[in-house]
Amino acid sequence: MHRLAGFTGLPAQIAKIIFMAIADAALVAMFFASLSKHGGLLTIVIAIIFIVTNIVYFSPRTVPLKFLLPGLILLITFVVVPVAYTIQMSAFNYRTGNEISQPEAFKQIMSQGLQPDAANTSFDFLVGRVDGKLVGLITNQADHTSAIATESGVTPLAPADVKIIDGRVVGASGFTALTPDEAANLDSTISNLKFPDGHGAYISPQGDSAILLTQTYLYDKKKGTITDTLSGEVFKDNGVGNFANTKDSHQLLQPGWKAFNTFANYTHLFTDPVVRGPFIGVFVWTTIFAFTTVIMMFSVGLLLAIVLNQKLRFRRFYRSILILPYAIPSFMSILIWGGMFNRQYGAINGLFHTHIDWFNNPWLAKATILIVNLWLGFPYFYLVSSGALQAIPAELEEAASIDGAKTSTILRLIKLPLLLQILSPLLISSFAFNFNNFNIVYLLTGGGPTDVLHGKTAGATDILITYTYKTAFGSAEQNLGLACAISVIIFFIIGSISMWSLKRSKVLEQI
Amino acid sequence: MINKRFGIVSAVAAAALAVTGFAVPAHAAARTITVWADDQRGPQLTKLIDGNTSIAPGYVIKVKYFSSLDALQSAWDKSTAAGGPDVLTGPASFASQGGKSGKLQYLRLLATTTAGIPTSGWASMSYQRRIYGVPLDVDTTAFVWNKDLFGTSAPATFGDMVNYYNTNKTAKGLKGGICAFEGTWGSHAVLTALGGGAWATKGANADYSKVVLNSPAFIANAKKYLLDSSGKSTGFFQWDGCADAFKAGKIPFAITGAWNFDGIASAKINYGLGATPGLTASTKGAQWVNYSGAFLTTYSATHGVQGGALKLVQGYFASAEGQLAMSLASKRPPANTAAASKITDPSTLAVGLAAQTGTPQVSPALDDKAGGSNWYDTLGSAYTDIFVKGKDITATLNAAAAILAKNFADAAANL
Repeated sequence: MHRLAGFTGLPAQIAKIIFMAIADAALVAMFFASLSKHGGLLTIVIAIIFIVTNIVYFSPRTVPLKFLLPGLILLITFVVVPVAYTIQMSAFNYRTGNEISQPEAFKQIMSQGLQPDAANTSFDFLVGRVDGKLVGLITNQADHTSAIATESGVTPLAPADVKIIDGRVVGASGFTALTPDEAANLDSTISNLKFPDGHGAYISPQGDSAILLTQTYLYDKKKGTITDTLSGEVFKDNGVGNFANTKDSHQLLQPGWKAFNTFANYTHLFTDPVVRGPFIGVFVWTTIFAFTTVIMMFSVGLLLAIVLNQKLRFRRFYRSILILPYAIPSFMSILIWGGMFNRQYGAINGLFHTHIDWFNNPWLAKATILIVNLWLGFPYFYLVSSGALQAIPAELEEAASIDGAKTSTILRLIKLPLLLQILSPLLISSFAFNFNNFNIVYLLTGGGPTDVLHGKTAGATDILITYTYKTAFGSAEQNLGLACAISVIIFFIIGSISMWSLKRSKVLEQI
Repeated sequence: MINKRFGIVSAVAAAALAVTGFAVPAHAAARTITVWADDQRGPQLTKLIDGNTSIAPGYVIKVKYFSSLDALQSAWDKSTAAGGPDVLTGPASFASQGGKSGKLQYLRLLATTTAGIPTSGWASMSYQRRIYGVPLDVDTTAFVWNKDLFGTSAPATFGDMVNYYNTNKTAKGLKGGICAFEGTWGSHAVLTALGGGAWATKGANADYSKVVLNSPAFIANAKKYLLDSSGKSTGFFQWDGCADAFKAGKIPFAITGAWNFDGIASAKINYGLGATPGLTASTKGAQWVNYSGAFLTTYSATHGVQGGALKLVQGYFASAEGQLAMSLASKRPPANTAAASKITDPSTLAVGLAAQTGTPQVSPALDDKAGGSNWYDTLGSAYTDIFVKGKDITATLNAAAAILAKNFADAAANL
């Protein structure tokens, strides 16, 4: 293995020490930040990266790994982990209302069962200690009687035993109030205090006040049921992340929890007509869009490359301006094009004195997307086609000309096959990119138009990735598990097409 | 060799620890109450409470705000206990979403707290009969007219506006008659001015079993005032991207909220404020009246600041003093009635007055999509079909009403 020319000895050692010190510092900082927020798996991963990085860069036996490790870490972090997580989540009922863990959901449901009494009995509340134990000094806001509330009960105080300033009880004999800092440090403990009132109810702190609460939900651990003692309704774990009413399965206690449901999201995708209908339509349009847009961009790019490969006046100028669409950030271009296609105020209708409703007609909206994507993408294919054309040996063209071949014949039978062989990987990667081209659809048409009045839930220009995004985040009701299932399907479609294409083009064999 | 390598490792460790000393954040952040807001409320809250240690003694308040309401919504949707807020501020729709997802903490409020804010405010913060937030201010729109175009007096009736538009459309190059800045949400006052709307009312209560979007009265009035004899739009009603045209003086009337008044004034529009004119001088259009709220998250318990966050929510956000300070900064009418009585700003008062004629915005019903799409998308689609594509208004509104009937029935079960 060659060392970097001219960078050896002490300077290299110092540079290595500085680089590793910064990397280690960053990893240690991330480790503690993750640890403090109960990062779990992430904390372990950071620790492993820290150990492996130091072993690799301080061992003389791991020279190849020194070059591969950064790429490997990034690949695992940003590709492998998200893919694995997406596959995992696709097997869960993970949607609005089913987002937290089962223990947390159960805790919240039982918390919701704690109901105030009919009089909404409230107290002024001061937390402190009596004989070292945490207690509450409570004063009923209705009758202004005070008491010391402990975990074993409520002890009334005589008016003479309480200290009042500005009409508010601030102390009592034997009671030492916590300072604000002390109380803040014990926040979790104080928030979870429940002082029994001796009649089956609890006095529960609520900031500076306390309130009388009664548990109205009764949990039967043996039966696994929750009974609402007010209505008499019984709720049982329905196996998909909720406690459901035993008499009406649609009536659920909220919140639910993330529940493992194996292939339910996938079967839902293909068996539920409400989901299946849009999915198939969107899939067909996605394939057409990706294929058409690549063909259009490649054709225009190649045409311009052929034209500008000839000797022309102002050829450099033409080449320069052709790069401009590529040089402008695409999201800006898309928004500008969106404005230009506006029905009322857009430049295109203004220029032609028309009132074409580009975004509300399904076919026009599709055409608009193809046009704007062509604008964004042809410079790339112009550049690569120019390079590829110049890489084709001139002797081939000369020989063909001598044999009497016409220009069109040379292009069709010599240049194009050679170009396609060279550019196949780029065409395939471009197809894969456009299959998931979220920006162009989301920023230009938002996936629309959507004929909601006729029961359509997907837009005419929605592609799988925008449909997935809408399913996951597009409304108040999100279905992340289903979106993950769609993402996994997209992943396998793209992977399969790419692998098949690469194999067909034999590109991998030539690397 | 071993000593040399040991020396290098030691040097790296020493340097790393030195750098880490600066990189690892101080642990004092454990008692920080983090408040999330959008770009409208965030800067105001930052001025009012960021760094405050007296509202909840023993805690420091930190305000984090996002570039837009969408960005806030997106961050909230993806939030977990690891980076989520302790207190969330935003529209009332957060209550139903957060209540269902378990991200918001059910609040048990004192009688003294609930007494200061109207029942409709608490209703907007509820999901399945439990309250998840305290109403901060009234989120609604008012009717705005360009005095330089129409005159200093407000139009008395809807017909006055339409007549002005028809008379001056060509001469003044008008690009519309009335513009709902906030799209389908803002257009509700136009619907109700013409006898339409979302659901019927029974006394003071909503009757979700009856959709009035396709009522015969509304269809007849829409044909009379918004469509020409061939059933095509006259161009009077605008709801999509028309704000710039109003600011350019090309649309005489608009419906928008306090958050846009500065922009309208900056565009040098001499404007008046009021309620949307109805069919007669004594009737008015009813815009959606919603509340923004402050919500206690369940993350606050995980972060060990729930007690402090409760003090912030109940002791400041729900209080007259807190709401007055926020209203002075935002120009939005406060939800707290004691704070509202101390407002003197004319714009805030005008919006507050307009709100009195409004319809309570019940987010669970409007966001529900049991019928296939929610109120806003359904209405947007109907507008496009009627006013852009020129489709038959009766058939279009009947199709929309069929969707909405399913939505409202589904939502009513959870209210």
